[in-house]
Amino acid sequence: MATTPIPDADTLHLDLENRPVCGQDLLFLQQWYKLSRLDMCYLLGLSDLKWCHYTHPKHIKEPLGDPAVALLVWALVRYPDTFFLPAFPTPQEVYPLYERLAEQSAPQAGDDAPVHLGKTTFSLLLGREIGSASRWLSPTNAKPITPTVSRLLFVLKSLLQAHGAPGLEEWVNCAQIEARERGLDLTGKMTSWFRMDARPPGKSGRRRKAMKSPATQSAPSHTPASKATTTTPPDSPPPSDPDSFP
Amino acid sequence: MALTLPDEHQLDALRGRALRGKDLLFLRQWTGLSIADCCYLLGMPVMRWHYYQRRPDQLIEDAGVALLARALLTHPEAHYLPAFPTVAEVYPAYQRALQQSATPLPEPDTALGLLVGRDRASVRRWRTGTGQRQIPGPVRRLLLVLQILLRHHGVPGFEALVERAAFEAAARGLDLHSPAMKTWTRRKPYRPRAPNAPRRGRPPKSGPPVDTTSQGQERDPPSPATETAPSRRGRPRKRPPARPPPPDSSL
Repeated sequence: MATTPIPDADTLHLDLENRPVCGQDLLFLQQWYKLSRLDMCYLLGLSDLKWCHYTHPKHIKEPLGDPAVALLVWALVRYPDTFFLPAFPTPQEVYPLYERLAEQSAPQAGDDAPVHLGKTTFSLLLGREIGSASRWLSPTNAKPITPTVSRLLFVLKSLLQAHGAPGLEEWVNCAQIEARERGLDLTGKMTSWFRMDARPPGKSGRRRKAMKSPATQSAPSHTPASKATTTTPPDSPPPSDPDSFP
Repeated sequence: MALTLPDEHQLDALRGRALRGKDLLFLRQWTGLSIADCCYLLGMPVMRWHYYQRRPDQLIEDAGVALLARALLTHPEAHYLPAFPTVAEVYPAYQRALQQSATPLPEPDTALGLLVGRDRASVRRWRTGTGQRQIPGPVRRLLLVLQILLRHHGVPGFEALVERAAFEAAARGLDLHSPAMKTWTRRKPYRPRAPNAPRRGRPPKSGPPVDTTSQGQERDPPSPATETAPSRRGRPRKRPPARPPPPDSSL
Protein backbone atom coordinates (compact mmCIF):
# COMPACT_ATOMS: atom_id res chain seq x y z
CA MET A 1 0.00 0.00 0.00
CA ALA A 2 1.23 3.47 -0.84
CA THR A 3 2.20 5.79 1.97
CA THR A 4 0.97 9.10 0.71
CA PRO A 5 0.43 12.07 3.01
CA ILE A 6 -2.93 13.71 3.31
CA PRO A 7 -3.62 15.80 0.20
CA ASP A 8 -2.96 19.45 0.63
CA ALA A 9 -6.47 20.82 0.67
CA ASP A 10 -5.44 24.34 -0.28
CA THR A 11 -3.35 23.26 -3.24
CA LEU A 12 -5.94 20.93 -4.64
CA HIS A 13 -9.03 22.96 -3.68
CA LEU A 14 -10.27 19.99 -1.72
CA ASP A 15 -12.54 21.95 0.57
CA LEU A 16 -14.67 18.91 1.19
CA GLU A 17 -15.73 20.13 4.62
CA ASN A 18 -18.11 22.59 3.03
CA ARG A 19 -19.45 20.85 -0.04
CA PRO A 20 -20.34 17.39 -1.33
CA VAL A 21 -17.85 15.44 -3.41
CA CYS A 22 -18.01 16.50 -7.07
CA GLY A 23 -16.57 15.23 -10.32
CA GLN A 24 -13.57 17.54 -10.10
CA ASP A 25 -12.47 15.84 -6.90
CA LEU A 26 -11.90 12.61 -8.81
CA LEU A 27 -9.40 14.44 -10.99
CA PHE A 28 -7.73 15.98 -7.97
CA LEU A 29 -7.49 12.58 -6.33
CA GLN A 30 -5.99 11.17 -9.50
CA GLN A 31 -3.46 13.97 -9.59
CA TRP A 32 -2.57 13.55 -5.95
CA TYR A 33 -1.94 9.83 -6.10
CA LYS A 34 -0.41 10.08 -9.61
CA LEU A 35 -2.70 7.39 -10.96
CA SER A 36 -3.75 6.51 -14.47
CA ARG A 37 -7.40 6.36 -15.50
CA LEU A 38 -7.23 2.57 -15.36
CA ASP A 39 -6.03 2.81 -11.77
CA MET A 40 -8.68 5.34 -10.82
CA CYS A 41 -11.50 3.29 -12.28
CA TYR A 42 -10.31 0.27 -10.32
CA LEU A 43 -9.81 2.30 -7.15
CA LEU A 44 -13.37 3.60 -7.23
CA GLY A 45 -15.02 0.62 -8.90
CA LEU A 46 -16.16 2.71 -11.84
CA SER A 47 -16.60 1.82 -15.44
CA ASP A 48 -14.77 3.93 -18.00
CA LEU A 49 -18.10 5.36 -19.11
CA LYS A 50 -19.00 6.43 -15.58
CA TRP A 51 -15.58 8.00 -15.13
CA CYS A 52 -16.08 10.02 -18.29
CA HIS A 53 -19.50 11.11 -17.09
CA TYR A 54 -18.28 12.29 -13.70
CA THR A 55 -15.23 14.09 -15.07
CA HIS A 56 -16.97 15.65 -18.05
CA PRO A 57 -16.70 19.44 -17.91
CA LYS A 58 -20.49 19.63 -17.89
CA HIS A 59 -20.82 17.56 -14.70
CA ILE A 60 -17.58 18.40 -12.98
CA LYS A 61 -19.16 20.71 -10.45
CA GLU A 62 -22.11 18.46 -9.69
CA PRO A 63 -22.31 16.11 -6.71
CA LEU A 64 -21.57 12.54 -7.73
CA GLY A 65 -24.61 10.48 -8.59
CA ASP A 66 -23.45 7.48 -6.58
CA PRO A 67 -23.10 8.30 -2.86
CA ALA A 68 -20.88 5.24 -2.40
CA VAL A 69 -18.29 6.78 -4.73
CA ALA A 70 -18.61 10.12 -2.94
CA LEU A 71 -17.99 8.49 0.46
CA LEU A 72 -15.12 6.48 -0.98
CA VAL A 73 -13.43 9.60 -2.34
CA TRP A 74 -13.93 11.41 0.94
CA ALA A 75 -12.44 8.51 2.93
CA LEU A 76 -9.42 8.25 0.62
CA VAL A 77 -8.78 11.98 0.96
CA ARG A 78 -9.36 12.17 4.69
CA TYR A 79 -7.70 8.88 5.64
CA PRO A 80 -4.89 8.09 3.17
CA ASP A 81 -4.09 4.90 5.09
CA THR A 82 -7.27 3.42 3.64
CA PHE A 83 -5.73 3.56 0.15
CA PHE A 84 -5.75 -0.04 -0.98
CA LEU A 85 -4.11 -0.20 -4.40
CA PRO A 86 -0.95 -2.32 -4.51
CA ALA A 87 2.37 -0.51 -4.73
CA PHE A 88 4.26 -1.95 -7.68
CA PRO A 89 8.05 -2.00 -7.50
CA THR A 90 10.28 -0.09 -9.89
CA PRO A 91 12.90 -1.77 -12.12
CA GLN A 92 15.56 -0.25 -9.86
CA GLU A 93 14.14 -2.22 -6.95
CA VAL A 94 13.95 -5.55 -8.75
CA TYR A 95 17.04 -5.52 -10.94
CA PRO A 96 19.66 -5.95 -8.16
CA LEU A 97 17.80 -9.01 -6.87
CA TYR A 98 17.59 -10.43 -10.38
CA GLU A 99 21.28 -9.72 -10.98
CA ARG A 100 22.31 -11.44 -7.75
CA LEU A 101 20.27 -14.55 -8.50
CA ALA A 102 21.42 -14.60 -12.11
CA GLU A 103 25.00 -15.00 -10.90
CA GLN A 104 23.97 -18.04 -8.87
CA SER A 105 22.13 -19.82 -11.61
CA ALA A 106 22.62 -20.73 -15.21
CA PRO A 107 19.12 -21.45 -16.40
CA GLN A 108 18.86 -23.87 -19.27
CA ALA A 109 16.31 -22.80 -21.78
CA GLY A 110 14.82 -26.20 -22.40
CA ASP A 111 17.63 -28.54 -23.37
CA ASP A 112 19.67 -25.91 -25.19
CA ALA A 113 22.51 -23.62 -24.27
CA PRO A 114 22.19 -21.51 -21.14
CA VAL A 115 20.60 -18.10 -21.37
CA HIS A 116 22.88 -15.22 -20.55
CA LEU A 117 21.07 -13.34 -17.81
CA GLY A 118 22.05 -9.75 -18.25
CA LYS A 119 20.28 -6.46 -18.65
CA THR A 120 19.00 -7.28 -22.11
CA THR A 121 17.47 -10.56 -20.98
CA PHE A 122 15.88 -8.72 -18.05
CA SER A 123 13.94 -6.65 -20.61
CA LEU A 124 12.94 -9.73 -22.58
CA LEU A 125 11.81 -11.53 -19.43
CA LEU A 126 9.43 -8.63 -18.84
CA GLY A 127 8.00 -8.88 -22.34
CA ARG A 128 9.85 -5.90 -23.79
CA GLU A 129 12.72 -5.37 -26.22
CA ILE A 130 16.36 -5.58 -25.21
CA GLY A 131 17.02 -1.86 -24.86
CA SER A 132 14.18 -1.24 -22.40
CA ALA A 133 16.05 -2.10 -19.19
CA SER A 134 18.82 0.38 -19.99
CA ARG A 135 16.23 3.10 -20.31
CA TRP A 136 14.36 2.07 -17.16
CA LEU A 137 17.55 1.87 -15.13
CA SER A 138 19.08 5.06 -16.45
CA PRO A 139 20.24 7.04 -13.41
CA THR A 140 19.67 10.39 -15.08
CA ASN A 141 16.61 9.97 -17.26
CA ALA A 142 14.71 6.84 -16.28
CA LYS A 143 11.84 6.15 -18.64
CA PRO A 144 8.40 5.23 -17.29
CA ILE A 145 7.20 1.66 -17.53
CA THR A 146 3.90 0.34 -18.83
CA PRO A 147 1.25 -0.95 -16.37
CA THR A 148 1.82 -4.54 -17.50
CA VAL A 149 5.55 -4.29 -16.83
CA SER A 150 4.95 -2.83 -13.37
CA ARG A 151 2.74 -5.82 -12.55
CA LEU A 152 5.28 -8.23 -13.98
CA LEU A 153 7.92 -6.66 -11.78
CA PHE A 154 5.70 -7.27 -8.75
CA VAL A 155 5.21 -10.93 -9.60
CA LEU A 156 8.86 -11.47 -10.56
CA LYS A 157 10.04 -9.88 -7.33
CA SER A 158 7.67 -12.05 -5.26
CA LEU A 159 8.81 -15.13 -7.11
CA LEU A 160 12.50 -14.36 -6.71
CA GLN A 161 12.08 -13.57 -3.04
CA ALA A 162 10.07 -16.73 -2.39
CA HIS A 163 11.90 -19.23 -4.59
CA GLY A 164 15.32 -17.74 -5.32
CA ALA A 165 17.36 -19.04 -8.26
CA PRO A 166 14.93 -21.90 -9.10
CA GLY A 167 12.19 -19.28 -9.38
CA LEU A 168 14.27 -17.36 -11.90
CA GLU A 169 14.99 -20.52 -13.88
CA GLU A 170 11.29 -21.30 -14.02
CA TRP A 171 10.56 -17.79 -15.26
CA VAL A 172 13.17 -18.13 -18.01
CA ASN A 173 11.70 -21.46 -19.08
CA CYS A 174 8.23 -19.96 -19.32
CA ALA A 175 9.58 -17.08 -21.39
CA GLN A 176 11.32 -19.56 -23.66
CA ILE A 177 8.04 -21.43 -24.27
CA GLU A 178 6.36 -18.17 -25.22
CA ALA A 179 9.29 -17.21 -27.45
CA ARG A 180 9.46 -20.51 -29.32
CA GLU A 181 5.83 -20.41 -30.38
CA ARG A 182 6.55 -16.98 -31.82
CA GLY A 183 9.44 -18.38 -33.81
CA LEU A 184 11.98 -16.76 -31.51
CA ASP A 185 14.74 -18.10 -29.33
CA LEU A 186 15.71 -16.60 -26.01
CA THR A 187 19.18 -18.10 -26.23
CA GLY A 188 19.81 -16.59 -29.64
CA LYS A 189 19.97 -13.03 -30.74
CA MET A 190 16.47 -12.09 -29.84
CA THR A 191 16.11 -8.31 -29.87
CA SER A 192 12.41 -8.05 -29.18
CA TRP A 193 9.32 -10.23 -29.00
CA PHE A 194 8.73 -9.65 -32.70
CA ARG A 195 12.05 -10.33 -34.33
CA MET A 196 15.42 -11.95 -34.08
CA ASP A 197 18.63 -10.17 -34.95
CA ALA A 198 19.26 -11.31 -38.51
CA ARG A 199 22.78 -9.91 -38.79
CA PRO A 200 25.67 -12.24 -39.47
CA PRO A 201 27.76 -13.06 -36.43
CA GLY A 202 30.45 -10.54 -35.53
CA LYS A 203 28.54 -7.49 -36.72
CA SER A 204 26.19 -7.11 -33.81
CA GLY A 205 27.93 -4.03 -32.45
CA ARG A 206 27.90 -2.00 -35.66
CA ARG A 207 25.30 0.48 -36.61
CA ARG A 208 24.04 0.88 -40.10
CA LYS A 209 24.64 4.43 -41.19
CA ALA A 210 22.26 4.17 -44.09
CA MET A 211 19.31 3.85 -41.73
CA LYS A 212 20.18 7.00 -39.84
CA SER A 213 19.23 10.47 -40.80
CA PRO A 214 21.64 13.35 -40.10
CA ALA A 215 19.35 14.54 -37.32
CA THR A 216 19.43 11.24 -35.47
CA GLN A 217 23.09 10.54 -36.02
CA SER A 218 24.11 12.97 -33.35
CA ALA A 219 21.50 11.76 -30.88
CA PRO A 220 22.57 8.99 -28.52
CA SER A 221 20.85 5.70 -29.16
CA HIS A 222 20.40 2.79 -26.81
CA THR A 223 18.96 0.48 -29.40
CA PRO A 224 21.37 -1.64 -31.33
CA ALA A 225 20.88 -1.53 -35.03
CA SER A 226 19.02 -4.35 -36.57
CA LYS A 227 18.43 -5.52 -40.07
CA ALA A 228 14.83 -6.06 -39.26
CA THR A 229 12.63 -3.82 -41.29
CA THR A 230 10.09 -3.10 -38.60
CA THR A 231 10.19 0.40 -37.25
CA THR A 232 8.70 -0.31 -33.86
CA PRO A 233 9.80 2.37 -31.41
CA PRO A 234 11.84 1.16 -28.47
CA ASP A 235 9.96 -0.18 -25.49
CA SER A 236 6.75 -0.27 -27.39
CA PRO A 237 4.06 -2.90 -27.02
CA PRO A 238 2.64 -4.61 -30.11
CA PRO A 239 1.91 -2.27 -32.99
CA SER A 240 -1.81 -2.34 -32.43
CA ASP A 241 -1.52 -2.30 -28.69
CA PRO A 242 -3.27 0.67 -27.16
CA ASP A 243 -1.50 -0.20 -23.94
CA SER A 244 1.24 2.26 -24.68
CA PHE A 245 0.54 5.00 -22.26
CA PRO A 246 3.16 5.50 -19.59
CA MET B 1 -6.00 -12.50 -2.68
CA ALA B 2 -5.92 -15.95 -1.17
CA LEU B 3 -6.35 -18.28 -4.10
CA THR B 4 -5.63 -21.93 -4.58
CA LEU B 5 -4.16 -23.26 -7.78
CA PRO B 6 -6.60 -23.74 -10.63
CA ASP B 7 -7.61 -27.19 -11.78
CA GLU B 8 -4.49 -29.32 -12.23
CA HIS B 9 -5.55 -30.69 -15.62
CA GLN B 10 -6.10 -27.23 -17.04
CA LEU B 11 -2.83 -26.06 -15.60
CA ASP B 12 -0.96 -29.00 -17.14
CA ALA B 13 -2.32 -28.05 -20.52
CA LEU B 14 -0.76 -24.61 -20.18
CA ARG B 15 2.70 -25.75 -19.17
CA GLY B 16 3.97 -26.82 -22.55
CA ARG B 17 2.49 -24.14 -24.79
CA ALA B 18 2.25 -20.38 -25.18
CA LEU B 19 -0.82 -18.66 -23.77
CA ARG B 20 -3.71 -17.71 -26.01
CA GLY B 21 -6.68 -15.41 -25.80
CA LYS B 22 -8.91 -18.05 -24.24
CA ASP B 23 -6.45 -18.51 -21.37
CA LEU B 24 -7.12 -14.96 -20.23
CA LEU B 25 -10.77 -15.92 -19.90
CA PHE B 26 -9.69 -18.93 -17.86
CA LEU B 27 -7.70 -16.63 -15.58
CA ARG B 28 -10.69 -14.36 -15.16
CA GLN B 29 -13.05 -17.22 -14.35
CA TRP B 30 -10.64 -18.75 -11.89
CA THR B 31 -10.05 -15.47 -10.03
CA GLY B 32 -13.75 -14.57 -10.21
CA LEU B 33 -12.97 -11.05 -11.38
CA SER B 34 -15.06 -8.78 -13.54
CA ILE B 35 -13.64 -7.82 -16.93
CA ALA B 36 -12.70 -4.37 -15.63
CA ASP B 37 -10.92 -5.84 -12.62
CA CYS B 38 -9.16 -8.42 -14.76
CA CYS B 39 -7.93 -5.64 -17.02
CA TYR B 40 -6.51 -3.88 -14.01
CA LEU B 41 -4.90 -7.14 -12.94
CA LEU B 42 -3.14 -7.42 -16.28
CA GLY B 43 -2.57 -3.70 -16.74
CA MET B 44 -4.35 -3.40 -20.05
CA PRO B 45 -7.36 -1.45 -21.30
CA VAL B 46 -10.76 -3.11 -21.68
CA MET B 47 -10.58 -2.65 -25.44
CA ARG B 48 -7.51 -4.87 -25.47
CA TRP B 49 -9.35 -7.50 -23.46
CA HIS B 50 -12.08 -7.72 -26.07
CA TYR B 51 -9.44 -7.83 -28.80
CA TYR B 52 -7.97 -10.97 -27.24
CA GLN B 53 -11.39 -12.50 -26.61
CA ARG B 54 -12.27 -12.16 -30.27
CA ARG B 55 -9.16 -14.22 -31.05
CA PRO B 56 -9.35 -17.03 -28.47
CA ASP B 57 -6.98 -19.38 -30.30
CA GLN B 58 -4.36 -16.86 -31.30
CA LEU B 59 -1.21 -16.16 -29.33
CA ILE B 60 -1.40 -13.18 -27.03
CA GLU B 61 0.46 -10.50 -28.94
CA ASP B 62 1.85 -8.73 -25.94
CA ALA B 63 4.36 -11.17 -24.49
CA GLY B 64 4.28 -9.23 -21.22
CA VAL B 65 0.57 -10.01 -20.77
CA ALA B 66 1.19 -13.67 -21.62
CA LEU B 67 4.05 -13.94 -19.11
CA LEU B 68 2.01 -12.18 -16.46
CA ALA B 69 -1.07 -14.35 -16.94
CA ARG B 70 1.05 -17.48 -16.83
CA ALA B 71 2.82 -16.37 -13.65
CA LEU B 72 -0.49 -15.51 -11.97
CA LEU B 73 -1.97 -18.87 -12.90
CA THR B 74 0.97 -20.88 -11.63
CA HIS B 75 1.79 -18.75 -8.59
CA PRO B 76 -1.40 -17.72 -6.80
CA GLU B 77 0.66 -16.40 -3.89
CA ALA B 78 1.97 -13.63 -6.15
CA HIS B 79 -1.44 -12.06 -6.69
CA TYR B 80 -1.55 -8.42 -5.76
CA LEU B 81 -5.18 -7.34 -5.89
CA PRO B 82 -6.83 -6.51 -2.58
CA ALA B 83 -9.44 -8.90 -1.25
CA PHE B 84 -12.66 -7.00 -0.75
CA PRO B 85 -14.53 -8.14 2.37
CA THR B 86 -18.12 -9.32 2.37
CA VAL B 87 -20.83 -7.57 4.37
CA ALA B 88 -20.83 -10.48 6.81
CA GLU B 89 -17.13 -9.89 7.47
CA VAL B 90 -17.54 -6.18 8.15
CA TYR B 91 -20.81 -6.38 10.07
CA PRO B 92 -19.46 -7.43 13.51
CA ALA B 93 -16.96 -4.54 13.58
CA TYR B 94 -19.71 -2.18 12.43
CA GLN B 95 -21.99 -3.34 15.25
CA ARG B 96 -19.27 -2.87 17.85
CA ALA B 97 -18.53 0.64 16.60
CA LEU B 98 -22.23 1.43 16.62
CA GLN B 99 -22.61 0.32 20.24
CA GLN B 100 -19.70 2.48 21.37
CA SER B 101 -20.55 5.47 19.22
CA ALA B 102 -22.15 8.57 20.61
CA THR B 103 -23.88 9.19 17.28
CA PRO B 104 -27.07 7.16 17.26
CA LEU B 105 -28.46 5.92 13.98
CA PRO B 106 -32.12 5.05 13.51
CA GLU B 107 -32.73 1.40 12.69
CA PRO B 108 -29.06 0.54 13.18
CA ASP B 109 -29.39 -2.96 11.75
CA THR B 110 -30.07 -1.65 8.30
CA ALA B 111 -28.26 1.70 8.52
CA LEU B 112 -25.10 0.09 7.16
CA GLY B 113 -26.80 0.02 3.77
CA LEU B 114 -27.11 3.80 3.84
CA LEU B 115 -23.55 4.22 5.11
CA VAL B 116 -22.23 2.42 2.04
CA GLY B 117 -24.39 4.46 -0.30
CA ARG B 118 -27.20 1.99 -0.90
CA ASP B 119 -30.67 1.34 0.52
CA ARG B 120 -31.53 -0.22 3.86
CA ALA B 121 -32.96 -3.38 2.37
CA SER B 122 -29.73 -4.25 0.63
CA VAL B 123 -27.97 -5.17 3.90
CA ARG B 124 -30.19 -8.16 4.58
CA ARG B 125 -29.90 -9.23 0.97
CA TRP B 126 -26.11 -9.06 1.05
CA ARG B 127 -25.82 -10.74 4.45
CA THR B 128 -27.98 -13.65 3.51
CA GLY B 129 -26.54 -13.88 0.03
CA THR B 130 -29.98 -13.82 -1.55
CA GLY B 131 -30.81 -11.94 -4.69
CA GLN B 132 -29.34 -12.08 -8.12
CA ARG B 133 -27.36 -8.91 -8.06
CA GLN B 134 -23.80 -8.85 -6.80
CA ILE B 135 -22.49 -6.13 -4.54
CA PRO B 136 -21.61 -3.16 -6.77
CA GLY B 137 -17.94 -2.30 -7.28
CA PRO B 138 -17.90 0.99 -5.37
CA VAL B 139 -19.70 -0.63 -2.41
CA ARG B 140 -17.18 -3.48 -2.25
CA ARG B 141 -14.39 -0.94 -2.11
CA LEU B 142 -16.20 1.15 0.47
CA LEU B 143 -16.62 -1.95 2.64
CA LEU B 144 -12.86 -2.47 2.50
CA VAL B 145 -12.25 1.17 3.36
CA LEU B 146 -14.75 0.92 6.23
CA GLN B 147 -12.96 -2.18 7.50
CA ILE B 148 -9.59 -0.41 7.45
CA LEU B 149 -11.14 2.71 8.97
CA LEU B 150 -12.61 0.77 11.88
CA ARG B 151 -9.37 -1.13 12.41
CA HIS B 152 -7.08 1.90 12.29
CA HIS B 153 -9.23 4.70 13.63
CA GLY B 154 -11.90 2.97 15.70
CA VAL B 155 -15.02 4.78 16.82
CA PRO B 156 -13.83 8.32 15.94
CA GLY B 157 -13.21 7.17 12.38
CA PHE B 158 -16.64 5.57 12.26
CA GLU B 159 -18.32 8.71 13.59
CA ALA B 160 -16.52 10.79 11.00
CA LEU B 161 -17.92 8.53 8.29
CA VAL B 162 -21.45 8.81 9.72
CA GLU B 163 -21.10 12.56 9.85
CA ARG B 164 -19.91 12.67 6.26
CA ALA B 165 -22.71 10.41 5.08
CA ALA B 166 -25.19 12.73 6.80
CA PHE B 167 -23.57 15.69 5.03
CA GLU B 168 -23.74 14.04 1.63
CA ALA B 169 -27.35 13.08 2.31
CA ALA B 170 -28.24 16.64 3.29
CA ALA B 171 -26.66 17.90 0.06
CA ARG B 172 -29.10 15.62 -1.76
CA GLY B 173 -32.07 16.81 0.27
CA LEU B 174 -32.13 13.75 2.55
CA ASP B 175 -31.83 13.21 6.29
CA LEU B 176 -29.65 10.30 7.35
CA HIS B 177 -30.84 10.56 10.93
CA SER B 178 -34.45 10.10 9.95
CA PRO B 179 -35.91 6.59 9.95
CA ALA B 180 -37.85 7.66 6.87
CA MET B 181 -34.69 7.63 4.79
CA LYS B 182 -34.68 4.20 3.24
CA THR B 183 -32.61 4.91 0.18
CA TRP B 184 -30.39 7.56 -1.39
CA THR B 185 -32.84 8.09 -4.22
CA ARG B 186 -34.93 11.13 -3.64
CA ARG B 187 -38.50 10.80 -4.78
CA LYS B 188 -40.28 13.68 -6.39
CA PRO B 189 -42.87 15.32 -4.15
CA TYR B 190 -46.43 14.18 -4.74
CA ARG B 191 -48.35 16.46 -7.05
CA PRO B 192 -52.03 15.77 -7.62
CA ARG B 193 -53.15 15.59 -11.24
CA ALA B 194 -54.91 18.61 -12.66
CA PRO B 195 -58.57 17.93 -13.48
CA ASN B 196 -58.17 18.13 -17.26
CA ALA B 197 -54.65 16.80 -17.50
CA PRO B 198 -54.19 13.62 -19.52
CA ARG B 199 -53.84 10.41 -17.60
CA ARG B 200 -50.34 9.23 -17.06
CA GLY B 201 -49.44 5.73 -17.94
CA ARG B 202 -47.34 3.59 -20.16
CA PRO B 203 -47.23 4.60 -23.78
CA PRO B 204 -48.84 2.15 -26.15
CA LYS B 205 -46.61 -0.69 -27.31
CA SER B 206 -47.76 -0.48 -30.90
CA GLY B 207 -49.34 2.20 -33.00
CA PRO B 208 -53.08 2.49 -33.59
CA PRO B 209 -54.61 -0.19 -35.79
CA VAL B 210 -54.24 0.49 -39.47
CA ASP B 211 -57.41 1.04 -41.36
CA THR B 212 -57.39 -1.64 -44.04
CA THR B 213 -59.77 0.29 -46.21
CA SER B 214 -57.25 3.11 -46.68
CA GLN B 215 -54.43 0.81 -47.80
CA GLY B 216 -52.78 1.89 -50.99
CA GLN B 217 -54.01 5.43 -50.54
CA GLU B 218 -51.81 8.27 -49.59
CA ARG B 219 -51.68 8.79 -45.87
CA ASP B 220 -52.87 11.95 -44.30
CA PRO B 221 -50.13 14.29 -43.34
CA PRO B 222 -49.91 14.43 -39.57
CA SER B 223 -51.74 17.25 -37.98
CA PRO B 224 -50.05 19.17 -35.16
CA ALA B 225 -52.15 17.25 -32.70
CA THR B 226 -51.18 13.85 -34.01
CA GLU B 227 -47.56 14.89 -34.48
CA THR B 228 -47.09 15.36 -30.81
CA ALA B 229 -49.16 12.34 -29.90
CA PRO B 230 -46.30 9.81 -29.61
CA SER B 231 -44.46 11.92 -27.08
CA ARG B 232 -47.53 12.19 -24.87
CA ARG B 233 -48.23 9.75 -22.15
CA GLY B 234 -51.46 7.95 -21.46
CA ARG B 235 -54.00 6.15 -23.52
CA PRO B 236 -53.71 6.81 -27.25
CA ARG B 237 -56.28 9.01 -28.72
CA LYS B 238 -58.70 7.75 -31.26
CA ARG B 239 -57.67 8.62 -34.75
CA PRO B 240 -59.60 11.57 -36.10
CA PRO B 241 -61.85 10.86 -39.05
CA ALA B 242 -60.16 10.96 -42.43
CA ARG B 243 -59.96 14.42 -43.86
CA PRO B 244 -59.40 15.50 -47.41
CA PRO B 245 -55.74 16.06 -48.23
CA PRO B 246 -54.56 19.61 -47.62
CA PRO B 247 -53.88 21.84 -50.57
CA ASP B 248 -50.44 21.47 -52.03
CA SER B 249 -48.23 24.08 -50.49
CA SER B 250 -46.25 24.47 -53.69
CA LEU B 251 -49.23 25.92 -55.46
